[in-house]
Amino acid sequence: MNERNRVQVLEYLAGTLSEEERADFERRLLADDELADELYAEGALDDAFRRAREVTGGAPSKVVPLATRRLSPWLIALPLAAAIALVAIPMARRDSPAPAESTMRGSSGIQVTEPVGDVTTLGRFAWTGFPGAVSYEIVIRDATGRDLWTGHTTTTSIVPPPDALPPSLVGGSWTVRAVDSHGFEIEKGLATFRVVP
Amino acid sequence: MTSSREREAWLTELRQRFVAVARRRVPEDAVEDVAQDALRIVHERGGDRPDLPWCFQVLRNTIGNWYQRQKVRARDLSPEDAALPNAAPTPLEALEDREVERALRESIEKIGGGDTGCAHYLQRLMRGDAPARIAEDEGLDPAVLYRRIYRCRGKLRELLRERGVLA
Repeated sequence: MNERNRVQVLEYLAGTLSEEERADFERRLLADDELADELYAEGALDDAFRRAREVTGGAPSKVVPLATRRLSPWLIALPLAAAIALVAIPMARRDSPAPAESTMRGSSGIQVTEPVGDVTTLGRFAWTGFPGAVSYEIVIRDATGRDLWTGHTTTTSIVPPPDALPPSLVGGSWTVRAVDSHGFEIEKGLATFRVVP
Repeated sequence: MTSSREREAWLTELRQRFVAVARRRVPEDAVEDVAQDALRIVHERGGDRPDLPWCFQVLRNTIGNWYQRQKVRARDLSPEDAALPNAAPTPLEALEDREVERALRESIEKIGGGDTGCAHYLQRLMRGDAPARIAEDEGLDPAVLYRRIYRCRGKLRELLRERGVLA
């Protein structure tokens, strides 16, 4: 892959391409395995940066620009704070859900009861019992399908621990799997939710 | 995208790209399942025309979830049974957050030993600074900065690959 394409992947991810360039890039991307792989890999690196920030507590940038290394830190603190704010807004938007359907139920005998659709808070996750089930496994995911928390219970509700879900979670989905005495899944229910103020 | 036919064609193309990307990151017998799971999420939650970066993020998370499930299963098996083919490097998205942070930090430090400029840009990206802002701070034309950043990210990906991590 040539340098121009690789640079364009970064520009595309940063949202700096014009509408026309963007449309052309997407057309090429959907027809080119190598370009698709490059987009995937660069996105993975951006994800990795974000995950690393979560580990370090998202420390604000204290990096002094190369060209201004001799300046006092306070001279760049304000612009950097603004930069972090500018970055945080699109990142939050990218992580935020845009569910096409507010509710999605499986064709199972398990009926998920809460949370389903629009809710004001996330607390208890509950469903109806299924005959033959000896336990249930619950998986909560964010809007992109990333697993956030998995829990097990023998009852028909569970409350995730306080630190299980990020406070920034404004929507996602969850599944409950009914498991029989042999450890096999015998039924599954699923739902999407959106936290609204 | 207006008609269901156009949407179907779009999903077909996307599926082909998902399969190609997944093939480099999960064993062959898992490729179709992973691609299908990701495509289902895109179809169900992506709206009429979801952003492609979001679609590929869905695929990354699906692949990450696949590796998580393998780890859970491996814990329940004997070491012999749990041994997975060790032919390919591990994708970045298969690592735990702390492993990711350590791999990035150590690799950037290594880059800093020979190229402080690159290490500087990568540290800023890692801290969440947008390229446009970095360009402004450095007084660079954004196009110039993107070329520099692309080379620095390439170095980082190369070092990660040396650690057995596919990025």
